[in-house]
Amino acid sequence: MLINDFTRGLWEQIPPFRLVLGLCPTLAVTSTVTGGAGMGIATTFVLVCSNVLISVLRPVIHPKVRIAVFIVIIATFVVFVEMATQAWAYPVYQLLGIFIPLIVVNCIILGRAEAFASKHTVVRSFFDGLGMGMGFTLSLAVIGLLRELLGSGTIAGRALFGPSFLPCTLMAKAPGAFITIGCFLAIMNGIDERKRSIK
Amino acid sequence: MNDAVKMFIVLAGVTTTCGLLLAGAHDLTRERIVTQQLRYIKGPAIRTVLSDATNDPLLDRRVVAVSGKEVTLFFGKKGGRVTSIALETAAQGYAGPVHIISGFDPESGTCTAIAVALSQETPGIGSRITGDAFTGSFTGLDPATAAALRKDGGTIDGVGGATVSSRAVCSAVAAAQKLFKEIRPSISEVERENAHQ
Repeated sequence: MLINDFTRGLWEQIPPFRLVLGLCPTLAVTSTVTGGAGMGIATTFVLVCSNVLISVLRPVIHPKVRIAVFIVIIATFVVFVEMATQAWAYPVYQLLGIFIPLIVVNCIILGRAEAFASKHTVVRSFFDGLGMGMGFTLSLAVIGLLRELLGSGTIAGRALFGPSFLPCTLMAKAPGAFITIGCFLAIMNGIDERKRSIK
Repeated sequence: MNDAVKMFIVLAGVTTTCGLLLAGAHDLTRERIVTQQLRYIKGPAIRTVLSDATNDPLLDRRVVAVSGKEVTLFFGKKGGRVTSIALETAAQGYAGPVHIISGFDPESGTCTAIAVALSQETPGIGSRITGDAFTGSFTGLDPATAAALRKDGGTIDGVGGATVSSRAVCSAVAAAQKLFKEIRPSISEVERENAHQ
């Protein structure tokens, strides 16, 4: 059961592709692999912490104020992340900028709090948060990797091709993010369809 | 217990706890965040201005109060002796404030170097104020001559086609000169404090 909680976020319900949630950061910060992975890790931290705390507080959270309590808890962890990145990883903070505070309104986090953590045990909520967070990180990093490779010809800032390489700038812009996500959705749906037809 | 009261207690309890935790985290990280901001945003300019310093001027900083305002001074040291003191001033440019770091010799008050820390001037036109050809012309400016463009009766040759941007640099440096004059009497004191640390 625990393994199911964990792997659900990695394929079956991988956030940006299956749930199509959290598209704002998925589009905005994935022009480089560093940006994508950084945003993913920050979101995972917030997701795991908020899931655990909300699950712990589950018995005392009054159902009528639950959304307000969820948001306060999520916002607190996000501000922790913002302060920590500013203090210890300033270049990452410069890269992600306004999108760190915007993690508060990332639907995945509130969605998992409402749909999972507020109804399940602490351990299960922890694994759910970790799985979802890692799925999100993985997706963002892969999108970032492809967009950076095609859009600027680099990986994590290191140039891969000679000076004659002509980058496809479109991929570094927002349409490139849509195209990449669309291709991934098509591939994933294709795989699922094949699986189903084999059955 | 009344439902509304319970609701109130839960929400108030959670928000108060979160508030306290955040205040604690803020206190813990504040000092580091200021240092990091200096290092990544203004650090390169400060290092350019205090290029011959052997210490880390970002760590050797002191906040002094001058006529009600707080000014951060960066000390460039060589062999334990302060060779240059840098401070930041800003003036309105063509597309927003131009932040300048100016370095001064603590003895004579002569300008040792300047560098542009932050600016949003037009790329290719106003942005040329960051070039060495222009910033270098402020080196050796004595404290009696306020920085000003030649066409404003001063001694500095502006960047062609970028008068507004050049003028902004001049007024920022002139402000720094004025500030440094006010600070100078108290510098030996600041230095002594610095040595104690």
